[in-house]
Order: sequence, then structure tokens, then C-alpha cells
Amino acid sequence: MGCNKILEKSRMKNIKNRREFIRFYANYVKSHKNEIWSRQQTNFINSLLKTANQDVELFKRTHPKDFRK
Amino acid sequence: MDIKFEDNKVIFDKILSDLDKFVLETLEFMDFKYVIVSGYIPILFGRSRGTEDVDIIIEKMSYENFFGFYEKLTKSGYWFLNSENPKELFEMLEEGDSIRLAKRDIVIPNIELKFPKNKYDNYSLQNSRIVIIDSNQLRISSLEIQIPYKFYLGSEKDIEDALYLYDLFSDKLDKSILLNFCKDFGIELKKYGLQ
Repeated sequence: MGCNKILEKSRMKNIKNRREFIRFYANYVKSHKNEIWSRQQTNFINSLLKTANQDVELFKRTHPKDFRK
Repeated sequence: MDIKFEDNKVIFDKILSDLDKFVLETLEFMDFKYVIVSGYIPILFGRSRGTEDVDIIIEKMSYENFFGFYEKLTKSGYWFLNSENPKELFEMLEEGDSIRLAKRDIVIPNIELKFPKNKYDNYSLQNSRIVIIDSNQLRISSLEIQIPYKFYLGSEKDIEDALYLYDLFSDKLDKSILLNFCKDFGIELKKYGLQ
């Protein structure tokens, strides 16, 4: 099997596994109390925001379409 | 998940993240028609993922009304990332571009505002659903258009968002409206293991 085919097979498997997890997680949220899932979600999102890069110049470089020259 | 669907309203409670608080706080300044679309909707309903921005479609308005909104925000600790000039920001909206606003000295998260660009944006604006979280209220696009639209966008993140919303609300969706939008967008649910 060629390198591309091996990588493609692995990529497709990864996509399948991720989608299965998303569907598992939707069921987890559906079947658990709001306090349980929302506490986990809040901890996760707050820590992401705490470590977000607030460098305006970097943001301008990575979102060039948003800014007038 | 404890959640109630009453007519056009979705009522539930959750522990609010800093992202939720930022959105709710900013919506207080919007005394015009708006609708939240895209990635924040699955996040609002529990999907654990990050986002840089929250997409909001706002009704078309005059420059005077936009200036009033701009002034209220900039005097309350917000900044617009694209330009400091309100005329230039308004021009961007009118030309179909989006503009971003955030709390001062903050880049992420930000809110991306745009005027409706097509019949689907107009549908979302006219057919929004009210979400009530504790004493807070916000307007989101109907899930029957959001799910097919996310499949249509087609990135893995968008497909995952669509799958999440579909599975979470499968028994609450109006399937005939959903299928009509799927047809419009050329989406086959079977391809994603849904029916």
C-alpha cells in the first residue's frame, strides 16, 4: 500500500472516530443533568480563553480579510 | 439535559462560561433585531470546543442608528477590531463584510457582526428562536436551518457541530423544514448516518 493510501486510511479512521465521539458526547449531555455537563464545559472554555493569545497585530496578520489596508 | 421547548422558546439553565457571559453582556447593547448563528449555537447547548468568534446577523440599519450603537459600546469598554472609524465600519457592513467587536485589550473572544446577505440570512433573522437561560434571553437561528447549513459548510468542525445538534435535538426538530433546507443545500443526511 502506498504512503498516500496509508495516510488516507488513517485520516478517514480518525474522522470516523471523532464523529463517533461527538455523537457519544451529545448523548452524554442529553442524559446528564445540566450542572454536570455545563461545569465541565465551563472549566474547559474558561481555561481556553485564559490562555488565548490577545496579540492584536498577530490577529491582523492571521485575519487579513477583516482589515482595511 | 433538563430543557423545555415552549412554542418559540427554549428554556434551560447552565453554569455560564466566560464566553456565555461575554455574549449575554454584549447583547444588552443590541436594541435592534439580531440572530446568533453558526458555531456558538452548539457551544451554547453544551458542545465542548473553543471558538474565536460568535457570529451574529443584525438587521440593516441607518448610519445614525449604527453610530448610536458604536458610541454606546466604545463608551462601555469595547473596541472594534477592524477600524476605529464608525463610518468605515458601517461601509464594511454595507459592502457585505463583517465587523468584529471585543472587550478593550481583548481579541478573543470577539463578536462578528454582519448584515443579512442572502435569503438564508434573512430567514434566520425572521425565524429566530428565543433561548432563556435563567433570567437571560438571547435569539438564535432555528436549528432546522443551522444543521443543514453546517453540513453544507463542510469542514470537519462544521460537520461535527451539525451532528452534535442533530443528535441532541433529534426529537425536537421539525423534520419537514429540516429536510427542505437539506434539499436546498444539496445535503443527504444518510451520508452522515442520519435519517
